[in-house]
Amino acid sequence: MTTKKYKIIDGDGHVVEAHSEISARMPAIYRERFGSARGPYPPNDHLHAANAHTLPPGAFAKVGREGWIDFMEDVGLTSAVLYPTNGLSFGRIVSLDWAIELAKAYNDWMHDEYLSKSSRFQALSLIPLQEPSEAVKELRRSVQELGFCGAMLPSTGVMGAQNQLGDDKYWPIYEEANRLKCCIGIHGGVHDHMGLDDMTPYAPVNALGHPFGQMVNFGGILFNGVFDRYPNVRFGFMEAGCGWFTGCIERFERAWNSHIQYDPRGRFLKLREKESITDYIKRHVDEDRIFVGVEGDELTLPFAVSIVGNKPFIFSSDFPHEVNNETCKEELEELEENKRLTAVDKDAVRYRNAERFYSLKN
Amino acid sequence: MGSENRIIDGDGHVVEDLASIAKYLPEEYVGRSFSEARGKNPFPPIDHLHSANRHYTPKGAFANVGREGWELFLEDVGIGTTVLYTSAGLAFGKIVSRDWAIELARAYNNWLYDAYLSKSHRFNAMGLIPLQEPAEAVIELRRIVRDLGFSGAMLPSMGVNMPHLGSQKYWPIYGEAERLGCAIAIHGGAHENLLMDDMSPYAVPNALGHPMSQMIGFAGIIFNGILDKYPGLRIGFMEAGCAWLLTCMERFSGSWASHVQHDPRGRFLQLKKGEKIIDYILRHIDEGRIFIGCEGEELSISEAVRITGNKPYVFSTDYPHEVDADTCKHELEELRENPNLSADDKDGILFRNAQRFYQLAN
Repeated sequence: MTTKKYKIIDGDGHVVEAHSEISARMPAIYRERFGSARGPYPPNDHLHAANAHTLPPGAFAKVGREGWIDFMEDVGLTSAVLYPTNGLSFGRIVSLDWAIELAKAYNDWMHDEYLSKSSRFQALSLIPLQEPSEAVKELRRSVQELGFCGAMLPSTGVMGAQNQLGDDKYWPIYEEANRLKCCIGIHGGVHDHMGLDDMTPYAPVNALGHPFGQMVNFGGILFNGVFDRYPNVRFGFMEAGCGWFTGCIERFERAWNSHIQYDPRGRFLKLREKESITDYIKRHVDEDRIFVGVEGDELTLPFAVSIVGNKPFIFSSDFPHEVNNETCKEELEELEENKRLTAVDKDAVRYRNAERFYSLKN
Repeated sequence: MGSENRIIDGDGHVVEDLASIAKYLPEEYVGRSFSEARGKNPFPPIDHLHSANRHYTPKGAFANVGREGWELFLEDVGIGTTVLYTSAGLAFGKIVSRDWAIELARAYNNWLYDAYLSKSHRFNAMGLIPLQEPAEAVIELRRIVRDLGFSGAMLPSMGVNMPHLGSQKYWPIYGEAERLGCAIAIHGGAHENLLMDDMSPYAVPNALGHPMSQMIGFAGIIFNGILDKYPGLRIGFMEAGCAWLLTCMERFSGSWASHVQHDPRGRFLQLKKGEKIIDYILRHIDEGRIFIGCEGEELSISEAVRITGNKPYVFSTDYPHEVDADTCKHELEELRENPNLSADDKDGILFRNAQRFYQLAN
């Protein structure tokens, strides 16, 4: 099978950062304070290191712009929306100034090296969520001046400093995204402090770390009424498959009915008359407020489509992380051959939903 | 016995009569160490999330209905027998004094035997064991199964500095359970340290705390080869619905394939030739090794049965926690009316699987 007969947008690919090029865009005082191995980024966690496992050939290679274009050509992708790699640990930066400068430098680098060089690249920016008033400025700059589709928020960060993402600390960011009508993509990568700190082998950490962060933040955003307050913001929950999403629907419905929250100040979500939590989620899916990154071969994808329709699910390659051209082709082939999804479902997953989430031109 | 009365409640709860349990504890523990402020409760607080957040639960929730109340409930709902779990003891993993854990487990088990098991054959139970000190846990597990007729023991899914449940620390417990032919069930309740420590409203920790902690326990047990090492062991994962199992199957397969673990000393699970993680899980379900508590009306129950077959799912009331007789009847009605489940599926969920898991007489 060739994937080239279909339009396919990669809704979640990654750049592997060129540290020297990014640090060159930071003030000198910062450049003198980090080593070359990880550049200006903090480590993700202790779990990503000191546990021997083998990744597919080519994983995490610094393929650069040319390598990315070769990948897209080979796999048959029209365009890709790029997320960071080392920047997935952005929530662990504790120096507010460092976060501000690094976000700016990364975004400038991404613009100079990718966005300005080919229309096949789009991206989500990094913003210093540690200081939301500064995050607002960088979000505005990255969207209005540099052409980013929106910003990425890390699903987890420093224990005790990063709140769940429905917290009102982050509402100024959503207010600005609402004004800009841009998207917010939530992405995991930091897996400590979630009950997995002593887990080995590594595979279950990777398997559960991503959905755990998404489940908690989806719960926080949903129940704290963020969808009600900022009706123009589109939220994406990336790289965690889709089982977690139907799991949340199942669990949230029951828990909201059996633990009826006292809400004297109107802090929480507002259900319409006779609307259930499931209805509320479906309504926001239908209104293009909720998107979910998938790789296309998920066990639960047909079931998820049967529950919420095909509108939220966005094909994501994850290239060049734990994948390569061949594994991505296999995933697309599995999607194509899935007998429980219609042709319309498959096109929605392959490109239509990404177009709406990222506001990409047809 | 009519068909209705064949229903087995695979996970009900006693609300502890603390004064009665205290009578089974050595004087040293009762006389000097119980705090008046906590109502002379020998169990530690479950977490900060269960308190100081106003919400309403169904009428009668968490009432100490006692044995007679339980019998009335079984009659009213049409349930033949129930397997009782603790309420306050869901926080058992938070006890740091090993002596306290040893004495309290013994006192609770003796009380439960005297107040319930010895009084009616309609009551079965899972005991508490001092997992803080596995050698003592083995002794108590043997005593309660052989001398008191318990079906096995419950392990809390979360506790203080508890290793994941696949950790070598707990292998003596699994070895003894295998020798005794009894069940080991994992049950959640303590929801802190799962990324939700600042979460409000309360519904979210309730919704996610149970499945997240089960997913961690399941991961530790699966990947550390517990099912290979103890081929006679049956393990149940209770009160978390069934969507989490599908998420684990979805995520574990991908992560194990993309992060091929170096295993020079054969620590981890052993797949058969050509077997994937999903096949491994399905094989152990089929062999009666893995059981999953469900309430019967879960959104994903039909899809879960389609994927795994009907053998793992065990109907559970959760009575008298956030449910009452009417909500349980409603759940049973939804299960019976589910057009996507066969009569055989429903019988499996309502009683057959519980019989196999807990080794109950037909």
